[in-house]
Amino acid sequence: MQRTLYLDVPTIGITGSFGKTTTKEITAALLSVKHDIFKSKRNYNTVKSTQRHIQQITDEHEVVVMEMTMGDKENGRDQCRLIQPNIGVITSVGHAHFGNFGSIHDIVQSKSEMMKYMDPNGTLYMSYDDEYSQLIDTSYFTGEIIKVGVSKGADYRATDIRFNQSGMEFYVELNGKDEYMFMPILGEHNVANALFGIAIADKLGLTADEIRKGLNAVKVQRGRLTLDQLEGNRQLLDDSGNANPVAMIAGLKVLNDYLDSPRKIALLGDMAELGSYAQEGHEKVGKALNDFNLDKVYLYGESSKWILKKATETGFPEEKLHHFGDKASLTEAIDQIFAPDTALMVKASKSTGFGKVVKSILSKYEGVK
Amino acid sequence: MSNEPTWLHEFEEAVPKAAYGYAINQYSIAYEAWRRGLNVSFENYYSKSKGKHLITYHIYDEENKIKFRYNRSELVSKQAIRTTSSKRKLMTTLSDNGFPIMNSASSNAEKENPGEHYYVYIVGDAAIGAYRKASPYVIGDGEKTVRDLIRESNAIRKKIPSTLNYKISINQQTKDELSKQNYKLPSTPDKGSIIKLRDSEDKAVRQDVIGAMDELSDVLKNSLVEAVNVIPGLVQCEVEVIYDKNTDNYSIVNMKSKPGILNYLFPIHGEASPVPKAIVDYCFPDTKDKYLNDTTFKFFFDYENVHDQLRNNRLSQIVLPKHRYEPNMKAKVIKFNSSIGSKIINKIMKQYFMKFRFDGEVTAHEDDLYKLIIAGNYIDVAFFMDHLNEDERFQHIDDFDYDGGVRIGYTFEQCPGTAELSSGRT
Repeated sequence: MQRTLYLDVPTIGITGSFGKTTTKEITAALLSVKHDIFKSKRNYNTVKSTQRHIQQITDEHEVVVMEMTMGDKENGRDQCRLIQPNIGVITSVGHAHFGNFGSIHDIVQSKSEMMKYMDPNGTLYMSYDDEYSQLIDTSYFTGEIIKVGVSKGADYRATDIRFNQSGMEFYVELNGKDEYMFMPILGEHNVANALFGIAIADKLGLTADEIRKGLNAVKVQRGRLTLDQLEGNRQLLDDSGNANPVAMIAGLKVLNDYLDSPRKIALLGDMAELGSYAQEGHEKVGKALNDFNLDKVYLYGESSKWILKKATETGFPEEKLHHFGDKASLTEAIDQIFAPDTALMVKASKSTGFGKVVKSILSKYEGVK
Repeated sequence: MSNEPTWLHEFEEAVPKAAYGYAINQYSIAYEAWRRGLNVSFENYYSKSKGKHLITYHIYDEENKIKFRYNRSELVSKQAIRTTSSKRKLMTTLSDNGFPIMNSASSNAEKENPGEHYYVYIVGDAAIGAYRKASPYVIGDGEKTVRDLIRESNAIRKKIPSTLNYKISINQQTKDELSKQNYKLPSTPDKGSIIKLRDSEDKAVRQDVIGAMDELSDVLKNSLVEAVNVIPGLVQCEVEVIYDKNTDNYSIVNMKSKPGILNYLFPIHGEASPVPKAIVDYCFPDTKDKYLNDTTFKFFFDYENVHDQLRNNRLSQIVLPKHRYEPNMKAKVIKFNSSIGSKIINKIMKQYFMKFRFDGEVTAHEDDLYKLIIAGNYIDVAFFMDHLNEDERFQHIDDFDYDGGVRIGYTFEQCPGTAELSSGRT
């Protein structure tokens, strides 16, 4: 068995039901302004990935940023058994990967493993906004706890959140002063993710200017709410990398609230790994559709029928809803509907295979913008 | 020189009673492997010649699986076993290869071979440990009386995980031997003086074991390794040798491929030899010095159960759970009184142990006193302590941090003298 790696440099372990990869990327971008960092690759976050990653950490690295899934019971212990974070982040507690759990309390237990197995004298960052994160009993944790969020009372709080065409603007109070921040990624939920990175960077001594510089340099992987301006004033909001009900609704909010387009269409596919929460999770999205003013909603896959049913039941106009059972007819329909002056959001679990749909769209319209 | 031998710290408080005696041979090797994170399974087999079930075991990882019997691995070749079990064949082989052997046929064997008997354990290309035997003695410290020194020595002898009684009783024989050296029981011998407790010429007296690795020259050690290497496949064995420290001359008396290990681990004087470590290093070189219990507790497994189930043929195989290894472990000894009865205590504690994945044990003592050893995540331990303190059914709760041996799993034991599982006072 591999022995635990205890480093005397900041070793950041990021877990949570959603937002792990984005938080990792943001945190790494901020800290790399000042430090030589090691960050885990892409969204590789399993115990096996961690095992491979730690082989690549050298004495040169001044900070380590690792995404660690704690999606299954005792995964957290196994992760921290390989490398013990002295800075822990629990981004959120929710129904992502619900298939692996019996109840939300199991998920709470699972995410709590970060707290149990990280350095007892370290710092744990948690969400102040997320409802289920409050269920984590932190009373026996011997380290420091810092809560971030958009709600009043958070230790690090984002205020005055705005969208501009290329990203999000907001303010954060650092050392008693409201500091303007901009990051070139979309979504209020990503502002919440950014707050983890900002709080860690501030605690590790980065200045507001350094934090701003890092935030500006944040790049997210394609398929994680990335925006492409395409030929004919078409906009593609690609969120095809992963999906759960909270993230799907957050993506719809970006399409609805922030994109300036005469025509808005959502293409939503099945959300996998929800287990017993699958029906309820899809129905939640179906109901939420009523909160947005969309021109069309295209649905694909077996589970997305629950979105269709719930949306219809709750009064979403039936003529705006189209369900597809096979990819060929879906691609054909998208070709027809994705006319100039249209914003299209693509969202589903990776296994749904919308990556190919995105590729096809890009090949047609990625020319002159 | 002192009366306190140096034993291997990993075995302190980590040898269950069932592993005492000859069982220490398999327990010590299995334990050494287990605490490196290797897998260990025990199986039984029926020995026709002995008319009973005996235990064999496997140590394995993803790449290798090696079978052991007592402390001998299957890497010792069958040919080597055959050669060492025939003393005539062994001696001929050694002699033919130019190694000095003791001519036991000669009536003057002892005189022809001056020196002391040593037992040397060889693993691979190295001499790992050695001991010699001597009549029981104690060493003066300039302060304690002979009687106190014997008491002190007996306290050490009691700790040897053996089924034999090594205790030195103070009798006429002792007094006679002391008198020969001008000592009496109340005498206070000078520091460093050796006080014999039995007649060294008396063959009936059981000899003590003295760790003696430091008494052997490197030349001798190398020669013995070379001698072992002339027997193909003898990758571990004990060499019995008569060795003269003054001249470095030696004669090989015997070689055993399956010697007892107890004497190497628990000498009464001198230093213990890390034979289990050397054997597991040899079989699984990648695991060398990688101990999981460097950062966790001295977990030990329930060998008693292994022994009981397999020797009585109730089970044919037992696979040990993986050695526990995780950050932030904490262990405590907790004592409390409760009048609700040991039956309910057992039920409650078992629930806690399972819920929090604690390892350890609960023992019921007289006067409603219970003693717990628990090891688990520090947050769970703190939570458990709070619950215990808030529960009115438990009184006089006392706890302290603990770094001794922890038995894995959950065990409830009634201490001798206490009633069987009781239902509490009415």
